[in-house]
Amino acid sequence: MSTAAPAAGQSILQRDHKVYTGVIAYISNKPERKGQERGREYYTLVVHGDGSRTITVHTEIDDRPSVHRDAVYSLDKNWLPLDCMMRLTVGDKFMGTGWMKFYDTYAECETFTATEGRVSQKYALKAPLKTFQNHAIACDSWHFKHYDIAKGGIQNIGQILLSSPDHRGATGPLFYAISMQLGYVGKEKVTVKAGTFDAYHFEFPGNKELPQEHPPYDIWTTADGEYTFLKGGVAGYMQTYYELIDFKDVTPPKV
Amino acid sequence: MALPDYLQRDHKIIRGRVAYTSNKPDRLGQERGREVFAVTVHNDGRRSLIAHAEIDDRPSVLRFEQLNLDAQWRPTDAFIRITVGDAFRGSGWFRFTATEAECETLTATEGRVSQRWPLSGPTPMFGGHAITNDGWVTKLFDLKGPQTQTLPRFVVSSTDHRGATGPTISMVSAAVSLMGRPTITVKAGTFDALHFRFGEVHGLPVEHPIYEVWVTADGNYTFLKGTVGGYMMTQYELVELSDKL
Repeated sequence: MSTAAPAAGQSILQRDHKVYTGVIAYISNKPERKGQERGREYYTLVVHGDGSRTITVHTEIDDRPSVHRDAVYSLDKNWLPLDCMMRLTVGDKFMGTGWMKFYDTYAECETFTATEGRVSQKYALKAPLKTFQNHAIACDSWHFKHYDIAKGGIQNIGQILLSSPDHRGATGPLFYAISMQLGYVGKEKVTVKAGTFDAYHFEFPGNKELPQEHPPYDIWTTADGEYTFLKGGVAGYMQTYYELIDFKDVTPPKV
Repeated sequence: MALPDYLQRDHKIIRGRVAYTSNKPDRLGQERGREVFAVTVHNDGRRSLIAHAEIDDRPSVLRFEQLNLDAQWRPTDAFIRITVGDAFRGSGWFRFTATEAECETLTATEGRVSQRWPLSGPTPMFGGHAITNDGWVTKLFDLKGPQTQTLPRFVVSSTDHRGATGPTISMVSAAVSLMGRPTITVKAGTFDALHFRFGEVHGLPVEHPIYEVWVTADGNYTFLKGTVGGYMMTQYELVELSDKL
């Protein structure tokens, strides 16, 4: 049984965690669609008492064929990946569902996809994975936790794994390995619909290790150590813009 | 207004929030947890639930559930991640076919486990312990059948009353009665409802107290309200509901 009597002087309620909710709007920057809503993302982030965290995120990309993605992604207190579950529909049809688990020397993926069927992957790692790309916009900004601002310049944080090499994350989920380059532009005050924040402006300077090169991607995150996604824009053929339009601390009162 | 051809919005979304409160005399009305959920209903009738639940009663239970049903409301796959006492307890992925339920899981007590459970037919439902998921279980009740029915056995992620073990595969069934078709008002609004009573649940190590559940009568089986008696004395109420895309 999971129930237990509280110790003397201890409240019957345990609220050691914090909870945040956010909504990110997906907008087009293409001249003929400028400002048009093309998707949305809703997330709930739990930060446990020890600093480990789990995000539950539901994403909808309306651009045909539509992409729906549910992800539940957990990091340890050092922001290193623990596990991730993902489920995808593309064109309103099932594409794949998978569970990924990360250890010091390997990563495993148990997945079932419409194209590959039932697959078990094991991927050897030379070092614990610093980050994992599940394609939720809310998690794109978390990669920069591993960027050393004092050092500056373009930094390679080493090998990472993706759930899909597709720019919209619309395949798999299956592991795909690349190295990740990160850049820093500066510190700014940023106003988005969710509020005004002290922010870091970072960049992904494009990546040629993907089957199709990803255009440069600018990201602004909060500068409070939480690396909360505030806004971002992808150039090139994508011409997309993302903005945090709602953010709430919904942590229940301490007892 | 018609959408341009390059946009595809074939699905519907139902979002909501369920409040967990206590019915114990010394804690009457006290908030003891909460659940937020989103249901995606695809054009062909398939549906997905993503739910985040928090039970504050010590040791706290935090649950992340993702559950997918086909157009006939049979589960195809699911995921559960739980913390108990604010520490990792388990993370597991489930997949269901006509002949097998499988579970790939890592738990704090059992370690890394791969389960294969032979089935003589598709499991008719999955119970992941999100309260919203409890509402979906009542879909197994034949509204044209007798007032009290034993539901067919289905897969659950835990036999603990709070779902605070595993996640691993177990099978349960339950005796359920249809108590009425009232119109009820909860904080989220007024709804035509189906009122069910879960009696004995077969397959649990500890008997579960009587569980009253009200769900919408619109075919979505959206959880509206519930009460558990016995030692639990808990209450659940839908306090927000939105279907805006």
